[in-house]
Amino acid sequence: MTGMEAVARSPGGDSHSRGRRRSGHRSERGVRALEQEQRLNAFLAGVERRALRIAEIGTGDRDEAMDLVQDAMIRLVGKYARRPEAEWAPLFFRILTNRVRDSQRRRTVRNRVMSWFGGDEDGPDPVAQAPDRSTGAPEEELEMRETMATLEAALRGLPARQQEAFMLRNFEGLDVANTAAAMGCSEGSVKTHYSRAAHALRARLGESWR
Amino acid sequence: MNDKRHDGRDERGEGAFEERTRRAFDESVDALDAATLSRLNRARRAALAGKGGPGPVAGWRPVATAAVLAVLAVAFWPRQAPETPVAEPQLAVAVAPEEAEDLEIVLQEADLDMLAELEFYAWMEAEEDFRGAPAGSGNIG
Repeated sequence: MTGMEAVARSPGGDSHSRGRRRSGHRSERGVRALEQEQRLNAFLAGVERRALRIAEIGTGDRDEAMDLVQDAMIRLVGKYARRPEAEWAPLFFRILTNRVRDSQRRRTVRNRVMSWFGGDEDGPDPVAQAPDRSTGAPEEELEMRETMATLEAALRGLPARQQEAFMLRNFEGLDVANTAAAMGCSEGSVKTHYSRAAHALRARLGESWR
Repeated sequence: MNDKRHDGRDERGEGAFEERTRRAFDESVDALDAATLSRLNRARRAALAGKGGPGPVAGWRPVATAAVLAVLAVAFWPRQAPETPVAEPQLAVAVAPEEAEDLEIVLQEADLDMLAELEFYAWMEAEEDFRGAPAGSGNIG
């Protein structure tokens, strides 16, 4: 091999090899990113409806709940997508719970200010809140709505932490450890909040619910 | 997710009250109207589409970029002077353009994803070591 051949072949061959290696890295990374996006999509699709209802019960307003859920989705995807998949549920619900708490605080302050100025409290419009889906028998639907409205009213009467513990454990089905992670407290606190919530709800909802 | 839910439920050893409240909740979830479901779908897709926004990785990328450039500069720059003797012009021609090319790739492409691949640089370094003596002697021979 002459010097000229070496100069001509060596850099060219290395460059091709490097290029292949680099494009291999990129395509592998692209596949991984696509798979992760699909897993994220599946996770969010699996929790979004219950998350919306939990946020709606917490805020008393569907539009606001929708904003909070979207905010939690954006936050999870933007900040925590690289975390292990098992952590997504507690992380997502921790973000959502924090957002709901902030919303509740803002609402409390707003209502207090409104009451100083003599305005009536800015509660949710029950007509606007009512779902417009009309499947099933009207009697059954009406009963279901009334049942849930009663339960929601009882839940809204609970302290925020009890409400969160009950909804995350009972509605979302998180275990104690993940509920603790979502609420940012100890597992013992979760058990206490949950037990008190269940006790208070039984007392408020009456004999027919037991 | 469903498995986790069921695990959580079994763990509680709950009674009829919890079961009833959960059933009421699940029914209310199932009763969500099409417009709401559509909004949720759009919200999810928007969140996933915005995935490329600033995340935790973005914060260390400029630092990593600067560090990689500094390492490359230190690794390549001083070696050029002793390794380009007048007596071995072919070796100088064979080595210097590659190194220049490597730096050029890094400087011109400004591909932050590639810069994040430290594995690539480890490979490149190993390749460089491997190439050193044989490549030089090959060129000379």
